[in-house]
Amino acid sequence: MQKLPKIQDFKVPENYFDSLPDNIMDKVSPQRSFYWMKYAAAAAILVVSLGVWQFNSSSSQYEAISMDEEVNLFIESQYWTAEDVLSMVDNPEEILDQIIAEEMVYEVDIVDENDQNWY
Amino acid sequence: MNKNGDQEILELIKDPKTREMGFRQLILAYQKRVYHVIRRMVLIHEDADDITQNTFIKAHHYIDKFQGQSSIFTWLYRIATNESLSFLEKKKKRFFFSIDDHQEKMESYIDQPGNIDGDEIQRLLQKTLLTLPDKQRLVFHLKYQEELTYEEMSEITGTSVGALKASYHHAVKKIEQSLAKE
Repeated sequence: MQKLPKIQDFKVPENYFDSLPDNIMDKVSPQRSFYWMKYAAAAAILVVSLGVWQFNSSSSQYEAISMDEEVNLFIESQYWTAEDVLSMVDNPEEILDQIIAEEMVYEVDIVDENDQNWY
Repeated sequence: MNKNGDQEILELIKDPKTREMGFRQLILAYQKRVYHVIRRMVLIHEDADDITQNTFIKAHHYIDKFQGQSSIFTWLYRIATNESLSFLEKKKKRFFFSIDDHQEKMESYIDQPGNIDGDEIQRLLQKTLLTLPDKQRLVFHLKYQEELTYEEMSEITGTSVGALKASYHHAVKKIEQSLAKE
């Protein structure tokens, strides 16, 4: 092995070993604040998602109310006729039958009341 | 650093109040040796810097599990050599998919002025070392350059003394043959 010379080390940038301990300590020290940040981030996400959910649900409620009001407005102002409203629903025949049945019951009730009066 | 110095550092690290100070002392005591053992394997300073930092970060993470059966130095060398070998392994796998040949990059790094002090023989020696398999190169550095005992090397690499002797013998033979050709 005497034939082989010792291998010289590669050159190291100046002051590298002066700053290396700080560079390493910076990466290992903030562990505690990192854990704290993790929980803070989780809490923040929870708050934001709750907020978004709340906002979404309340705004859809708001939309539903305003839609009903709008429909009523159209009907009350007689902009839509009964035929118009019926033509907009999926099952106009069924609704029509339902309305007729309700009115029939009303009529039957009146007859009954009259019968009672006869007694 | 001697056993007493190691013991002092470990005592400081055990106490939460002096833990940071103790770890800083550990870095100061071993940073040069750890850096150079890594640099000899990966050659390029920026890579050696990353791996040295990772080695100490891992050491910080696992220091409580360090039982003190071996010296801190062999324990740190074990982390450092593992990190270096897996870095080189990763670079080789990546070469399959990219045109960036890390082996060529390391070879041309030797030729770049300012990276090595010394003559043509030093460059030739470094280039010859690069032709060895990574583990053989590591064994050569630990024995020839660091002058470690086979027992220490066995502890660091997790390889039997017999296998290490054979590996070192092969490495020296290849280097001598290669230098004789030039």
